[in-house]
Amino acid sequence: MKNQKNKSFLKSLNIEAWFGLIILITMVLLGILVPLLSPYDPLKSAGETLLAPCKEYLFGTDHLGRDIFTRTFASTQLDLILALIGVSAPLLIGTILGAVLGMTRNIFVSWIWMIIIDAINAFPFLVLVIAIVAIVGPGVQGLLIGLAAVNWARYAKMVRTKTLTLRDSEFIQATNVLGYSRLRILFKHVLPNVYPVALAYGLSDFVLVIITISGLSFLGAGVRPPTPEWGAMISEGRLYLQNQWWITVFPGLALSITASGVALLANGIMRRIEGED
Amino acid sequence: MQDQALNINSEINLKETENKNNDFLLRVQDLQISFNKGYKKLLPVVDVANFNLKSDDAIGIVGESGSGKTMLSRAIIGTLARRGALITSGKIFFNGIDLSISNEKTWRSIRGKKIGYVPQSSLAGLNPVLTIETQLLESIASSKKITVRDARKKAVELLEMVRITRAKQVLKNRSHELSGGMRQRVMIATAIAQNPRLLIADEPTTALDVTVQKDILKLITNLRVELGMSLILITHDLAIIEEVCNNVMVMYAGNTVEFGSVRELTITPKHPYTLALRDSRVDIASPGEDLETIPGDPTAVGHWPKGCRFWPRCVLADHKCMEDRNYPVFKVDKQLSACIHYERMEKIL
Amino acid sequence: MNENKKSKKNNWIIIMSRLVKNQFIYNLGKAVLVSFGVFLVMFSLIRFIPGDPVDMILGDSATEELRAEYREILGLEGSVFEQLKTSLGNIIRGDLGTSVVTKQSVNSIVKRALPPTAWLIIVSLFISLLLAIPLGLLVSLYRGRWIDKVFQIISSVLLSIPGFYMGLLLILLFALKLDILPVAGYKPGFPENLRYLWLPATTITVVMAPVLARVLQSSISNTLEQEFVETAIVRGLPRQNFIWRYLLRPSFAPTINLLGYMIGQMLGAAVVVEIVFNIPGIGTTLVIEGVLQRDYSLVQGIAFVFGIIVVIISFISESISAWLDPRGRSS
Repeated sequence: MKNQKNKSFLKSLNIEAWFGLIILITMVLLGILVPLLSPYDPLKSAGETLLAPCKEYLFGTDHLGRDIFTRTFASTQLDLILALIGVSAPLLIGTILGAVLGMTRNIFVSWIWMIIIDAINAFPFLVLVIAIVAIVGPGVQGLLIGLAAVNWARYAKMVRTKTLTLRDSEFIQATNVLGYSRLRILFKHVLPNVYPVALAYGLSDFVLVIITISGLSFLGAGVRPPTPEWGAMISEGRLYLQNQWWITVFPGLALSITASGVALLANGIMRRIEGED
Repeated sequence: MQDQALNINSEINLKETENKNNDFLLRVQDLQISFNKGYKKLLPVVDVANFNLKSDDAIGIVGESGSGKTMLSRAIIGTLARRGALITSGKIFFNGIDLSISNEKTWRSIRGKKIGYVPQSSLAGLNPVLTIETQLLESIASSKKITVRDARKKAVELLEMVRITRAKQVLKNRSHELSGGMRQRVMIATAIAQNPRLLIADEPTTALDVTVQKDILKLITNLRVELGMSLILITHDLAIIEEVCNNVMVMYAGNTVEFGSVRELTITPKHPYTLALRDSRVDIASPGEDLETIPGDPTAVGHWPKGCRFWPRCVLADHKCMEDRNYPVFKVDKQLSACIHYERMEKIL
Repeated sequence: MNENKKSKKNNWIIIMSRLVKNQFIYNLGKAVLVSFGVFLVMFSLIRFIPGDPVDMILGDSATEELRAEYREILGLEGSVFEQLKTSLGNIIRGDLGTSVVTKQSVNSIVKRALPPTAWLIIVSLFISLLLAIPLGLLVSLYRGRWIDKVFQIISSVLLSIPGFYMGLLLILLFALKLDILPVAGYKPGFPENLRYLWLPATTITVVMAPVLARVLQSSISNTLEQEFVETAIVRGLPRQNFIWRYLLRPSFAPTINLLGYMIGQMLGAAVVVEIVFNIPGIGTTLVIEGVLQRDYSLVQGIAFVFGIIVVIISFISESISAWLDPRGRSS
């Protein structure tokens, strides 16, 4: 039964989602195949520096002589995996916390947490993440910590709101009457009903996270050179923008296309789900 | 029997030769309305409706939910497109104008001015950010030039006409500050603001308390007399129609099943559905006895059975009823009935 | 005498509960509380540094005096409670602290850096609204047709292009290749600064305008479906009147609410855009002078300013939207 459901779901996806899916799959495939098959090492110089795109070097070479084509697609895996972590961690933390906050009858606790959550959400996302990265130190670790520490609040707020509406519904009241333990109510009854909201938000959050990760790397506060990462590469190419534009343009293109793919897929799925409702 | 079946068009033609054209304010002929489901899929929701309205007449349209009565009223006021529906065949003649092929310009000259419409949910029908006065003024002044002072006076008059006390106070209010009954009266006031010839009221009392219902009905009747308007009253409650209307059109599953005067339909209904409706009325049920109900459920739009749509629930049904056919209409005395067994009706009364 | 006291107390309770129910007071109270939360977040930022913040800045070889000095600047002297009291006292007086690197007062740094950012936001907002309102209106009136779908896809794509990349592309095209606008930099004072603000504002607009249009469109669509719009049609009201009174005005309330949120987003985007275009606003200051120099107190102070600005703007937009929509609710 479940298989049938999944199959027909796939078939009925709209154009947007298909577009997004195709783009995404293409980029992922390239991300796996190119570094595997390319004769060049993304970290080492392959020859002359600052070469324009040509047959040998499809995207040209950068100021250190590295092949940009290989580097660009080597970054795909990194960025996507980082983004995945950057979405799942806040999602998990935020959802559970949000559900607990929604179920608690303790007004005091609820209010204090809500003020903290609202305060965190008040800051522009990038600003707070940057501030945290400043504190804990740049690098991949700092990046992920910063993301998790800020983004959980958005999930928590959303899940809490949904939990609140759920709490007054009859079937939760029924479980109370039946004397289920609070933990059981939370995990077996509340969470399964609220996680779709979180997942839906997570889909669209994915794009924001990808952009934030590369943004921070661009600023020098995330992934650092020489690791190939789109944001970092864009930053490296900035000095040469006037004449050797390819150092910046191609990684950025890859970044934008991948992010677009995710965005289209996410939007497509969201519209489909909304249409169902 | 077949030769007694007359196509409604020829029926109208007959009447035309009998009376002058002008006698009929509104004529609905073989009207079919469908939902446009996209990709050329059409889902009929009214199939077919027929009735005539003379000037100064009051017609009730009665039917269960899903009978298509509201869509029919929307066709007359031209808001089908908003709902993704359209007229797929048939005609609507208002004062000689063919409404089924009108453009927006024509509609704008008719809406509010020649036809007033009191929609189903008047409770949410007023703009929440504007005052009552502003909205009344809108309705008063939308066509002719009128000074602000005169318009304001007229607004107060209108509110008094719909029996709202403290009219001046209510003018300053906003819709969420008024009770349901008040809102309904304001809606009626906006509908009659320009003295339309026809007033269409879609379920005007359904969402109101029982005590308020009677007042609204009385109000509508009085207004009809005072302003000389014709009335189309849409409801699922036969009792209301008996109080207010002269003629009634019964709809079932998108089809006009009977049309005639209230008196005749009540005493001698010529369609089993009308009979069932009459007998299932709660207000005339005898205490202590079981309530009469119509067995079965109304079929959903799109799942109408072939042949007569009522046959699964009909006491007179036989195999002839299940045959697919065009909808003939039979002229029986002064009524029109869609039942091919209308003669047998006398036996089961 | 007791009777008097009791009735006075009851009156107080009635007045207070009526006040709280009043939407405006509620919003105000919420804003104050969230501001306090912003302060707490800022306060705890530094205290979450792994290891000693002073060590981080000075290294191991600093003298005890120097360390004590820095500790004081960062506000790390004394127990946590004392620190909280001092910090809160400072903030209420408007003192944001001192930069550990330049020893200037954070207030003066912020004062210097705020105007360019403010101008950037204002110009971006202006252009965005100019584009978004007609766009949103257009798309909502032609809902479901191909215009809507195309708009959807284009805005999804535009939103996925990171701000810094878009900025660099614009620089590449307009400044480097076509040479119409300056590459970067800033000249204070209106209207000279406009020349330097066009490209950065466009960068922000490219991302913000579609989102704004989307919000407006969804709000208008919601409004369109409301009963009173149908009633207005049925009453035969003339078209222009109709579009403003029945579509735009009721749709504005939720839109303005979200506008406050959007300005917050814009501030975030502005940080990156400022750096790309070398505009000396609070964004650049935060990153270049704050983060990259490990100037913790500066980072703290500027982050706080960001947070407070957003809270204030949210409060203002909530109040305006509540005034526009007298029902006191927004969809």
